[in-house]
Amino acid sequence: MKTPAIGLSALAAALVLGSGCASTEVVDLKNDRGPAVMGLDYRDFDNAAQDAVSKMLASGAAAKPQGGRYVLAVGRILNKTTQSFDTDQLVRKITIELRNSGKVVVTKALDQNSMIRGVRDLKDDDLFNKDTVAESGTVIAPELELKGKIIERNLQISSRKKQTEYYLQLELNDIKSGLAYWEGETQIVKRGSAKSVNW
Amino acid sequence: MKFRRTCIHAAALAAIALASGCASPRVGDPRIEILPSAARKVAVLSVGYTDAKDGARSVQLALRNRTGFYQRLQYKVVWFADGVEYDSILSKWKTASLQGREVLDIVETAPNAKLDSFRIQIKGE
Repeated sequence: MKTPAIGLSALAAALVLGSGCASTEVVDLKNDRGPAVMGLDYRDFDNAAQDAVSKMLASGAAAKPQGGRYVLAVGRILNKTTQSFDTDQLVRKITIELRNSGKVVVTKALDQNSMIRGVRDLKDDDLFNKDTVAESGTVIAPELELKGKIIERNLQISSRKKQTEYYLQLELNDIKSGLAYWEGETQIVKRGSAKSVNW
Repeated sequence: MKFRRTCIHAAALAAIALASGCASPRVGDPRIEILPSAARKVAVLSVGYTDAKDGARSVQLALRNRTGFYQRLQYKVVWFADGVEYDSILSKWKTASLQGREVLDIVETAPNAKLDSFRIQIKGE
């Protein structure tokens, strides 16, 4: 007679544990008190983007002297860290903010995955109305290039502690003259257990 | 009796002054809000702004550590266009550290030239 009661209790316990309600939480991104990690997390990308945009705007490098907006192309952002992440996590925040500043417009014409070039080949495709295909010679070339790299350096402090340094280096270059209008570096330094891994 | 009544009035006034100070201590400028966690740690010496040629406004704030000890604070500048708050990554909390009695100058530039007013919030870490 006792068997069904025990079975029901076990089932209820399994359901509670299985639902995962004990361990999952949605993080409040505006007030995240979670512990820092040795690797780069979203807070580091937020801070680095904030720092870069703030310095770029304050320098006046993104402001066109004769008014209007610069056409900006995003070049290569090299990830030279031991971690695997998409550098768009950092770059997209910067380009969004620069575009919202009203000083810059971003061209996607040079993106490898963009259809801007490919669509023009449709002129020869009978499937498409030729009048609706974008003409050649209408794409506006970039005036500025944003490029950079993210570097990681690991230092052993003691047998128990290590230090990881990240350098997020960005530069804003004038394509016509080849001059660097702005260069900036954001440092993120983390110190923690030597047993922890960065990736 | 008269003396006792005066004492009660004085105590009540002091209590009101203390209570309002704890809720949101100000330096007389409504653009600056020092949250209770930082109220005893810092004082705002000055606040001002300049407009660049491209129209972007920069705000400058001078803070002084009121204590003799190292302090870590957080601050953010919230920008407004025609009274409406503007959402930007530049308006996230930033960390500042001050040695005892140190004066720190903070300069922040508006995310775009349409933003004409600001509010600065300071809190303890």
